[in-house]
Amino acid sequence: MNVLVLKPGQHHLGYACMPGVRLGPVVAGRIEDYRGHDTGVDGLARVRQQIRGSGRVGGPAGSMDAIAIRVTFGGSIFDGPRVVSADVLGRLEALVPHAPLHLPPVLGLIRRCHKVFAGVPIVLVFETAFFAGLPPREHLYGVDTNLTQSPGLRRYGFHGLFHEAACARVARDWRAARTIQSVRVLSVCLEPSPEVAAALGNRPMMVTGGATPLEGILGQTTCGQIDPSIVLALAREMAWGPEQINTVLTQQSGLRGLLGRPSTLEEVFNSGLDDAQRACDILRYRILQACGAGIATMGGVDTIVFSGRFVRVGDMLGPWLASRLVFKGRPPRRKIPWQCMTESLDRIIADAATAALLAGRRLPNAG
Amino acid sequence: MNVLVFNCGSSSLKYRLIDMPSEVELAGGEAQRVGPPTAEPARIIHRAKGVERTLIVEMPDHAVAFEQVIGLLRQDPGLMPEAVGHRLVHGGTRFNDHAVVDEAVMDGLGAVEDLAPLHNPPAIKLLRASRSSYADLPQTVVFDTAYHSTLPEHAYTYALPKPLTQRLGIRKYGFHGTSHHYVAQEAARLLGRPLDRLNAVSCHLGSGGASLCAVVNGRSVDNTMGYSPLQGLMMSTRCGDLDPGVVLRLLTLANGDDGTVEKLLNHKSGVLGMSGFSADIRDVLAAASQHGAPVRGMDLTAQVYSWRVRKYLGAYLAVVGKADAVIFTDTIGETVPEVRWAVCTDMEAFGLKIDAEANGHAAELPADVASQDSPVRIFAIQTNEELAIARQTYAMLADAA
Repeated sequence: MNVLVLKPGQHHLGYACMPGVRLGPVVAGRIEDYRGHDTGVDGLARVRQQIRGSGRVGGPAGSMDAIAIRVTFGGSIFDGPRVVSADVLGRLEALVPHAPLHLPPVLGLIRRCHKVFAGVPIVLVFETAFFAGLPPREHLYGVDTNLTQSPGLRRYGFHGLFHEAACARVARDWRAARTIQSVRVLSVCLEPSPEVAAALGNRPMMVTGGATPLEGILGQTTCGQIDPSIVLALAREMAWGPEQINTVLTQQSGLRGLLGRPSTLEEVFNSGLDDAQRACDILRYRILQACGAGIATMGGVDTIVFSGRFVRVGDMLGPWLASRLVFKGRPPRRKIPWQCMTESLDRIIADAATAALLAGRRLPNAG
Repeated sequence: MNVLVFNCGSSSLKYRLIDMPSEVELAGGEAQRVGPPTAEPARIIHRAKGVERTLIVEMPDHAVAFEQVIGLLRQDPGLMPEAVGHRLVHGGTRFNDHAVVDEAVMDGLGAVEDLAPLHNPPAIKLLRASRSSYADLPQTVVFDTAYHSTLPEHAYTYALPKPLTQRLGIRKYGFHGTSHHYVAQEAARLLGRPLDRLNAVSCHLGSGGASLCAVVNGRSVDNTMGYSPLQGLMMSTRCGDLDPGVVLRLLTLANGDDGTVEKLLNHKSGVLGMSGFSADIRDVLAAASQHGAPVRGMDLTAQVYSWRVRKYLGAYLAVVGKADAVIFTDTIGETVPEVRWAVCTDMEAFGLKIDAEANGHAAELPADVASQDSPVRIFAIQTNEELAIARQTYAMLADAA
């Protein structure tokens, strides 16, 4: 099945035409201002134009068998991909108050797809689906949800698609090797905002990401876990409002904050510069702690799997973690094995959408 | 040497007169409800020579409480202090060790007063009163933060813009240092090895605050509290770790009023905020067990409480590497076996095997609740901040002499 993968943000839209068999996209790109607020031009029409113009995909609709839309927030009700229907749209609309920035563009995009790519089935693939199944002791926060006016506040994590694909890959490999039924996996997603998760087979037990992209391991520009008092100290000492603080914590912190310049995960792991090495130490230290926590949530660990844009950093991180995660009483056998899952997000989304269409899934009536 | 130790709370004053180095307590007690009048009158519970009595006496501030206490001690010539030790919660980066008090130290304390606005000021006020009334006695300050001054850079650095962290002194300080240091010493003693060869994770679980400490070669290398005592574990009324984006949401809801959010997260969250009826995890556990729920079915609040301790234990065992012991201390750590069980069960991957029998019957402390064949020991050790302060004071003055 040829799948057109769409990844809408608030201003830009990433797209990739994923063929059924080859790993990489036939054509891919990014449209700025796809909602047409500035240009007044429909972004999706431009996507179609670019696909046709590439000359590498045939037919009026670009010969796409399906459209897959990556949705960053699906609440706890969408626990997997969903083929778009009136019912699904209704439930998605009901979630808008929980994600007032992310969901309206998605709903608008679905409407445009019906017009621009008429007749092509649309599948929604949710980043939050895998972690919708986190146990309450992991996803709840230590606050009074009444006093904080936050009913339904919970941890969702942000790279569920990578983690789910990585854990599924490991589980397949292990079943094929006829070893453990429920393999205990530490999944380290090496994206610009890295995230560590623990899963027993396909059951998520822990994730470092939170209710917002700010919680967890530090990122290229995000602060990660900080003392909640620090947010309040910034308001008090710097007289900053919440928006200003959010900008600092989301765009000026992380590696950028530590180094005073933009940097990537790859750079700090490969750089010989003193300040980059210190930043690398901090990053590794937090990932190590997250792995220790993950092992505690599963009562052990069988393997570590790396994924994400910077998956190749796993070649350095794997041996380092395996050498540090050694405990008393552990038989002096081989260290924890690790592997890299190199599939791209587009491939993961396309495959998830294909599987959903073939399975003819609908939202269960019980809800 | 008779060492008089003062431990100031925000509305209380604990004191003990301890003979060093024998560590025998000669007198002790607690002044309660110090400060503005409350529903019940302020009082001092005083023990000396095996006799305990309660005195009702007005104490509008800690200086007055101090005068009352030294007055009680003066009633008996056998209770003369020869040195005074003071607990101070936050020494910042200015004080990376405890200190014998002189003018320079007093100046330094003025500079760190605002770092812990509820705790430092009363303790400093008390110290001034003590320097006045006991002008001829050597006095020391022992900081909760000092044990954590050995945290490596990668542990104490937050991933925030450097100019900002430098300007506002934002870094991880860690707290409960005196307690973690004390129980680490005790654990080393129980294991028959010197402190500087001890690797451990110490869990100080109190009825108020709680924190874990990673100990390598006897030194602190991390603590779950951070810039303030709010970070880390979920505590009796504190939220512990919380998504910074959620803190921002709360700040927006409060129209930018950080004071309101601070009160909410420090005093109305945690076990109290989640359970809706008590700040004490023991009450929550009792309520759960009344419904016949076994450990698995513990009330969600108790589950979240234990789960967070468990995750940090795993994290710090990974940091420490080959740990010799896990230590549980303070009110909950010492007296609530269900929590120790929930945290340590199914942790054999770390070399930890808890023994159900030993854990359930650990009435006399110190106790080792690990099974015989557990590579890592699990201790329940009674913390004793005042004795810890007396030991530090005695050591400092012996050095100086």
